[in-house]
Amino acid sequence: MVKKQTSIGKSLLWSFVSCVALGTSSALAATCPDGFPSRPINFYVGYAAGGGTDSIARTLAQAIEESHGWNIVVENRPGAASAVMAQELLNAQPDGYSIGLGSSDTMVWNPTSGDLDFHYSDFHFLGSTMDSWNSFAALSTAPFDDIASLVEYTRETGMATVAVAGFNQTLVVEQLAEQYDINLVPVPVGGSSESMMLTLGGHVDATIQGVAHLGELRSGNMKQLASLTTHRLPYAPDSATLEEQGAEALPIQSVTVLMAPRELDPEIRTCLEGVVDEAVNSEIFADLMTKFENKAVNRGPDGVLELISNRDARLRELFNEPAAE
Amino acid sequence: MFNELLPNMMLGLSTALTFENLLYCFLGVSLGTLVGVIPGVGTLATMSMLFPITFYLDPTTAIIMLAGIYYGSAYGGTIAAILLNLPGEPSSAVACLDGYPMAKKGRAGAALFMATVGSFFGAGAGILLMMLFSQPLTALALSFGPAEYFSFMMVGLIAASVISDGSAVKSIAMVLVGILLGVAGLDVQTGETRFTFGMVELIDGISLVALAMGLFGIAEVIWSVHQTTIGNIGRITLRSMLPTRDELRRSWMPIARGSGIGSFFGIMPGVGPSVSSFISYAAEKRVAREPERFGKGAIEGVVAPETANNAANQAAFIPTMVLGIPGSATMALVLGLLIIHGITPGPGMMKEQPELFWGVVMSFWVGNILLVILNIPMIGIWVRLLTIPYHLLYPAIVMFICIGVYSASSSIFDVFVALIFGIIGYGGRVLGFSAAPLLLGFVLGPLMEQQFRRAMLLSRGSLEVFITRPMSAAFIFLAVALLVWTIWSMYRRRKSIAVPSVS
Repeated sequence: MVKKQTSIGKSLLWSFVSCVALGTSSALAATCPDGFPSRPINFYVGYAAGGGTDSIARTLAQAIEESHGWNIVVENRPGAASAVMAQELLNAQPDGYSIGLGSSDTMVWNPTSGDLDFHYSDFHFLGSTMDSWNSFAALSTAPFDDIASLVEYTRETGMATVAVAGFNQTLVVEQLAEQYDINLVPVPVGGSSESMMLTLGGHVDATIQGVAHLGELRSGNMKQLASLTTHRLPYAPDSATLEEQGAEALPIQSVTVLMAPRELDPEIRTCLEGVVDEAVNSEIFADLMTKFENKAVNRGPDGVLELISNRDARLRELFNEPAAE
Repeated sequence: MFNELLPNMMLGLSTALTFENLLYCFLGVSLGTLVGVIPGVGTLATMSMLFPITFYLDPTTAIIMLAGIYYGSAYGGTIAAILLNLPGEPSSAVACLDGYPMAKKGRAGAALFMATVGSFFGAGAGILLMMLFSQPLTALALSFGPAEYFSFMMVGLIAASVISDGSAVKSIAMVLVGILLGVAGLDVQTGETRFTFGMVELIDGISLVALAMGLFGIAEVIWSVHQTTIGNIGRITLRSMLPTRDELRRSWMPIARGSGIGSFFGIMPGVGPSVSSFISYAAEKRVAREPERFGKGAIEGVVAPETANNAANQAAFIPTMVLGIPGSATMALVLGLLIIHGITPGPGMMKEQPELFWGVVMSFWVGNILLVILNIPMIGIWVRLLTIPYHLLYPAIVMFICIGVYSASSSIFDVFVALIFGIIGYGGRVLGFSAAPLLLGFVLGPLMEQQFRRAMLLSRGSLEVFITRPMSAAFIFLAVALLVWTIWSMYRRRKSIAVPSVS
């Protein structure tokens, strides 16, 4: 029974993804300057091998190798949520041979990132590959089903806890607590495994998750209370977004980006943007996205920059931080 | 549950014994042993490097190979620890304490033999648990909240304060230094960075591999300037490799206890095999009739930690495969592999993918048997390592450490960290400060801090939570009892030394 549902869900998602792919694949045909590339191109992944971004990088590399015959070397530069990679990219030659893959969030200011020596304007974004989706989830046995009933529950019991990993997730919980004037407490942990442990063991009331809870969602052990993105999520279409539920918290919007040092030659820039777009819309990449229960979306260079600068401005506004010069 | 076991085992064996799976299992464990032997070249780095290959393999085959590297390296890690006083892996650090003195006495062969036997039994215990009790064990692991984690780590820290021989005060001081070093990096609770001095490389904290390889590896190389080669290894006959009857007799109980301790630590995500090997060493020293033998070549001190870290390695697959919750970076790699092949890890996986689950479990038996077959005949060859002159061997070791530390995260910064800790480790050793307690403090300290603060958050700041939750209360009681015992036995020993000096 469970298995059947999965395969239906997957095939639906799959056809959706293929539609998207068909609609955009002819948009940009890459034109590259003569003689580029004359040597292997490096992809520097801001996360460790085996993670989502790593697989994205390797699949894109494979797609580009197949369609253009280029040689791409994927290297992992993990550390500080891809800030180590960004720092390193800052010192790389802007010749088109060093391309970084990381999260758009690393480029966005937040009150705890004071130490970082870079700003998003130091980089040129070649495009994005997928949007990260987050959801508010709890054990199926929890006595609430959405934001309103969670608020009600928190008022009744006096306190409810939410396991969160990272600044963005913490902020959502803090903003909910403030809006409804309830004692909703974020319990920060190091990563999604720890927050899943706390949730499954019943030590916290709810959690915010990206993908780690999908197995539990499918087996019926957990339920989704809200989508924390700007739209509903395909694996829980009945669960409304924060906005639909009347919550004012800032939705979490982050995308996986490809970036290069800013002073990139315009011809090489156009070439790489085109090649990236083709790869993101390739069949093997769509296949990977199906496995991630997500979909391939290239927001394009301008779209990515807009997303980052908007979010940066919103956060600075929230914390009364002046804009960087 | 049990009547399904036999068909499941058959299903698993039929998967594990296909030619391809057997081949990749062999490849994995041999490679694991090799990277285990070479100090610094870590499991995680090796698994990461081979990860792209797994895109083209069947997921079962891919996990069989990666897992083989993982548990194979624990066998290999012991070899360098015993022969050269250099742990191949951080979890083998404690095997140096008695393994190297045994090698000096010409018992290297026996130490290696018993470590292999212990490793096999430990791994077997972990695999059996996975076959029989994975569901109830995951329920137990989940029932552990922050309060239980904290109390249980407290027991570990107190138990381990006796790891090194010599001054207990120095040992405690080193635990504290370890805890302080662990503080550097991102504070998960607030998102602020601590003691990073603006260095982006320190945001994730000091690398465990770099720290361990510096303190044990580089420091040992510097130390070797003072000494000459062991040289006289005697004639390597089959007889010299086999443990004596006395050594065998002393080993069975440590193997049993090590299996238990290791399995328990393995099912707790996030604690890791290093802690389990430290704790089982400490436990053996506690229960020993003559604890003064430890640190001078006691076989128990080699067998127990090696058994425990292998049991922990195997048991770590339980939360990963059954819950989809990886306890370490290496386990996260295994999960990532499943996701890339379109398999959602989690409670449904055992039922939806029985061939994968049971195939992997049965391949663990195959792999461990292969490891024993590989390791026992190799002992004679490994022991000959000791005949290589130090002026050739040690520069090579420094090179391997640098390569290994660098490859863990492609960071030259970590290489410097290893070199700096090498100097610190050497200085400490000259002054009689042992590095083992420091490593334990470094691993346990940050975990304890996180769990403590989390427990306080959940209990609204009430310390009572540690004694009102029954499991936690039991651990706290154990910790207090251990503390009292330690102080009492220290007092008694001091008295027994004092008396003859008066007369």
